[in-house]
Amino acid sequence: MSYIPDNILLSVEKPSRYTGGEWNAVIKDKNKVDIRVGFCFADIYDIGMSHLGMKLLYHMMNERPDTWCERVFAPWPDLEAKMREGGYKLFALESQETVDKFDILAFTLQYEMAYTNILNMLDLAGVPVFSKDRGEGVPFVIAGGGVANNPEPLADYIDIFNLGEGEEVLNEILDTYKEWKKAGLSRKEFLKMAAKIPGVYVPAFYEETYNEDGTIKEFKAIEPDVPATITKRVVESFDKAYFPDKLVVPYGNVVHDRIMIEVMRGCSHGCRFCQAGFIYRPVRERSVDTIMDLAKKLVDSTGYEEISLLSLSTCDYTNLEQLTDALLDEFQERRVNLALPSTRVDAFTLGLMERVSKVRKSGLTFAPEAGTQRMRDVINKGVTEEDLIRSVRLAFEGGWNNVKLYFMIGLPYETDEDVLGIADLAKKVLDQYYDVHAGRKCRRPEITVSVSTFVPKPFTPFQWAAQPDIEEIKRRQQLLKGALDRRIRFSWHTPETSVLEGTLSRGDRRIGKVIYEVWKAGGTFDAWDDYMDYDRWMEAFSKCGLSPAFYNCRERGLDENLPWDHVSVGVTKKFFQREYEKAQKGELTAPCGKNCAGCGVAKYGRGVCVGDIQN
Amino acid sequence: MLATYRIKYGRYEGVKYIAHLDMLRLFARAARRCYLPMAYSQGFNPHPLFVFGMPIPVGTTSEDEYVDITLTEDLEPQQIIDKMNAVMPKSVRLLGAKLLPDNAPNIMKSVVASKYRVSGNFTEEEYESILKKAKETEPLVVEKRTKSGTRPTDIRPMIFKVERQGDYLIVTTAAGNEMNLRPELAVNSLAGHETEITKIHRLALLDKEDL
Repeated sequence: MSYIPDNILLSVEKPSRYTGGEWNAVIKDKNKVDIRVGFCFADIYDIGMSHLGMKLLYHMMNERPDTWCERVFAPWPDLEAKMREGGYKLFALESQETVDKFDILAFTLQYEMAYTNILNMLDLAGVPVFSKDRGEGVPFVIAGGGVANNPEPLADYIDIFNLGEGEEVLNEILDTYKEWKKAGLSRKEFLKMAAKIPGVYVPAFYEETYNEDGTIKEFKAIEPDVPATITKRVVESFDKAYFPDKLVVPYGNVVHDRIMIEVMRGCSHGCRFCQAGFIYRPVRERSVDTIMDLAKKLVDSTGYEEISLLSLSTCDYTNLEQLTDALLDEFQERRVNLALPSTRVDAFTLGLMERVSKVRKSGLTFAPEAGTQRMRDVINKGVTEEDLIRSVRLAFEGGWNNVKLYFMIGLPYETDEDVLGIADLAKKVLDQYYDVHAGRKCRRPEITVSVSTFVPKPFTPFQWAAQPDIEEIKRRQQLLKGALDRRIRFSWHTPETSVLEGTLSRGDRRIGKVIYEVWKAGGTFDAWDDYMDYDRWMEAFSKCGLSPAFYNCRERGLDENLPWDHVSVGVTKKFFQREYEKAQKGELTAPCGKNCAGCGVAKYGRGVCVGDIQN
Repeated sequence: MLATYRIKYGRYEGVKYIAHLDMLRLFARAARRCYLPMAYSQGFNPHPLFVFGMPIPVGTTSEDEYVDITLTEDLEPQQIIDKMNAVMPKSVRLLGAKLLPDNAPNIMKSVVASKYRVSGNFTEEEYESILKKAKETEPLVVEKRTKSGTRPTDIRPMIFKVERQGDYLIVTTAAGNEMNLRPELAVNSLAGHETEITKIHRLALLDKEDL
């Protein structure tokens, strides 16, 4: 039985988002578990069910006989309105019960624009949005995931952050919770116990003060025996780390609906704009044997028609050829496709392409990221025009006519020449198509240039950099648009969202109030263009007496206290500073495996840093 | 050697909101989970050879749905049912299977009507007026959605039978390629106003002989 009655479900879009009951969804007897966890994704089912991290941790927690972990998604505004009108609360899909009596609500933070949805989901659950207002018997609100690495914007709302890889720390939190529950201690006692787990950050135990110019004066602990720096966790052995052998198979509605196997964690390239490239270091791989074993079990348990080999840069996987051959051998007869989500232009080969396309052909995507060699060197992308041209030629010769090129604008030290370089490069790609077909009759090429706006992120060499303001970004977009060959499709976004991300991603504790004001004024689903209201955000900033430009349009001083200085992802601030300086000079840094640049992550003694890639 | 089977299945509460296309995906994935020897279409983007019957409205459950599936080898029909039911969500059940002769007619070819069990919070007066109105023979003209927009339509020829069974209304209306009438429109039109229908369940698809 669904918690939301039929007459309401029939009146909203895609009601199957809310009814659960999918194949492999985990149903347990609620009376036989000690801990009930609501795993929350602050967006709708369609998006959340596409996210691998959530699937992994969901099945991992459900391996524990003492825990029942259920999925919780944000209802779309059509249902939310009816829930609020009818007094319905946020509910979990599996049990179809409200989550207000659960033990733990765990949020995975994947993008800043979901912040308002977190507040909204807590409120809809009947849980006080401010951590300080939660009393005994109220669920603990915990959070992790990439965006949690700068926890401060959500410091007022989250009881416990876990930083870094969740596989082990989450189990330790659950063990501690059980111990605490058995001992019948106070809410604060649990927070104190949790704060002792490495990788756990309890924001209520710390305080941030400010200088007159608005920068951070001091960040300090206000509770005894809590760590001054919280260091991210890294799993014991990546090859042996938990990975589910089953996945919930949605009925439909889902963006990425396929088997995803994380073949590699971390990325060795060190592109200077890319947060993921630094926070998930060190680079580690799963062995071909482990992946094959997982793939067989996953196809058997899900029946999916596609396997995606997931990582930040799958082309770098050591035995990619061996792996893809083995997968094709195993699954071709069962019509299971192979997908590689990201292909580097310098690693693209015809063999690889043919493997991926054996069962089905789709468009190809390349990400040169910048239009000129100078700019690509500034960001340490490490690919050349020759790499790109060689790759697209191979693709065109192999029968592809559909190529998408990803670029960024608004990067530090970008000039108009760099922006126009994107148009030049795209034109060269187009010319290659006609050159390959040398006057013969051919299909029309479909070349798309997709341009996003650079957002400076914490834990990158560009964490100090200024982001151009909206007017300037618009000018550069128009400049590019005017220069692009008309036969090339141009896809871009309005810069408002990127600018807001720029303010939030490097925000401090005060930003939390802005998020609250936006939510109070009706802001939810800010990750959706139709719902994001830029003016509402600007009003909230001014209501809080804060300037958005202070956060995103200002180059920060190298000696300034950054809001995330008390978090360590293993990469040192010194390294980022060195890389920032090298960026200015357009100097390259070699990838990890080739020449260690001394980023600091070697202290974990894992992966590529110690020549033991599967550990 | 390709063999095509006509599968009868039921879709119940848990999947009543899933769309028609989702059902295709659900069958294809279940078939892969149980190693059913599926046949695939030729060409650029091969897909399993499934042919589903007419879409059922979202929100409606049914115990009489059909899909034709083509396999690359002969299997005992009961084996197909058992294999598939073992890997299907509980709210989808295969209820029957039979090997189709070559040139068998399309699933929907002979279907002319559908029998539904309609539950709702009906008052005694409503039951009475619905049943009474159902027995009349003069035209019953209502606004009905057709391919070319909403227009006044006489739905009398599309209502075959209305009975009461306890609190349920058992309603047989036109279904198939020729005419189609949703049971809620039949019930509400007979009542003369919007009734409070809570659930609709398809009991059977009927052909001419069944009527």
